[in-house]
Amino acid sequence: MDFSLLFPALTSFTWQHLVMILVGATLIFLAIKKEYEPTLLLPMGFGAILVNIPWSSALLAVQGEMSNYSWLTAQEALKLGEHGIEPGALSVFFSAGIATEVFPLLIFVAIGAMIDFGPLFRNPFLLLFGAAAQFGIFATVALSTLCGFDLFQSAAIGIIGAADGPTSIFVANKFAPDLLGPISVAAYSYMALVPIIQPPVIYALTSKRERRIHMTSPTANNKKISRTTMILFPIVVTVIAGIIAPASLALVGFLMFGNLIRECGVLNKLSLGAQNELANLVTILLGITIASTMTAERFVRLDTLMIIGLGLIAFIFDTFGGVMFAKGLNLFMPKHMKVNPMVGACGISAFPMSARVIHNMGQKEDKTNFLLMPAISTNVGGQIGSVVAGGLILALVPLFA
Amino acid sequence: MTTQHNQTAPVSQNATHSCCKHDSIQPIDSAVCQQHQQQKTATTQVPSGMKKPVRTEAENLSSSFTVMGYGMLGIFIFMAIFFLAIKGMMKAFPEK
Repeated sequence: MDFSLLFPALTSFTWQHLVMILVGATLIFLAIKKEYEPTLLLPMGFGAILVNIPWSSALLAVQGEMSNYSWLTAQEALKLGEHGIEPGALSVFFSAGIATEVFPLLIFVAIGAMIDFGPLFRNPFLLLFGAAAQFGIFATVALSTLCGFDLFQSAAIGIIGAADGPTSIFVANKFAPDLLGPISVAAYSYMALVPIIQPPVIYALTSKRERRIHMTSPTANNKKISRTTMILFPIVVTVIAGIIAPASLALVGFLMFGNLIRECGVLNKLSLGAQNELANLVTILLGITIASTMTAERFVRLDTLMIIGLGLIAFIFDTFGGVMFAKGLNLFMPKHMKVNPMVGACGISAFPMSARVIHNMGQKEDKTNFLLMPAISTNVGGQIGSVVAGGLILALVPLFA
Repeated sequence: MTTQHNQTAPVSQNATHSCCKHDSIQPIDSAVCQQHQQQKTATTQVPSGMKKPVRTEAENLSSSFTVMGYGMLGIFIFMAIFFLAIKGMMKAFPEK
């Protein structure tokens, strides 16, 4: 009796598989106990456990003689589409939803349906901070090349700085599918860690006097936005983005489609469906399917640690970019129009976490300083900025690689 | 740290090759043609539809700065256009 055929999982088990199961357990712990992005980290954590038990039927099934393959060669054979290896459910979900980029784009429809651009329309000037805070993406692309990654891989790593899960998955899938697992884990983990990452960077870059700058503008906050403007905005943005950078159209277009469903006023059921059922359903599938890339062979490598580190640097440079842009702008602004540099840090796409963090920091410095409205406006601008940045990365990197 | 890897393509029993050492097409068989080893296919892990040439680190760094320059400029241009579009729409369609 061949023991290896009787208990194939046990005989193929390695220390790397154990490490990945522990990684999965850690993600589940962070999701439940610390409530760090539980909607993604819990499915990813469980999926990591599911795919790191060798011969998991969630990944593949061998039709015929199992003894012809080791666990490693079976996975290679699945990739090559060899006869005799059938994809498991997670592999099918990956091929259908991730490789085709359908899942991230459906999530974008849901996100678009959740976004209210009203605060941004009242302070459109804050869009510029949504641009400045994408600096971390490009800085990390440069740093990644110094670490030995090629330009495509560096771009996929740098996009972690977009602080936007679907954008990160979309770009990583196009440029470096092998790195999709660590990039997704890094992106979603750091989005949840914004309250820990941003404050030290902001404190290091700003003075107490700068942090106490007031930005409240009662008239701006009460400005009414016409329904026509709210409806036209997603259409106009889509057309402009498509003409200038067609590569960005999938990302921008689906986001704006979701927003149009919300703002048109005649599709309330679809809007609610997108915000709830669609978002929840696709999130479940996306999380557990991303985990199918978190196999020990792909994940337990020095590359993964470097990606996790570079992802953190991306978020730090995002904060740096937004804050420094605000400080630079203040050199030219009259006193009553100065921008609180902390609001610049809200230009990342982690909505509404970043806005809440900055508002709380402002309150700590001065209880009479209410930064929530400008922070939210900037945060919304950051959501547009991150999508535009993703589109530009998709358009530019192939030109210079 | 490119993902370039060498993949050994398994050679089928029925594969043939034209060999200068022999007069006619012969099946690849190490016993018959010891001059030829199993075919090695060097492949690079490429994004779908995109060629990934091998470049030095300095070239990649230089390209990344170019991407940074165009990218940041591009984002600011986009945002400036959106800013003008918002201003224009709010002027054209004021709330009644």
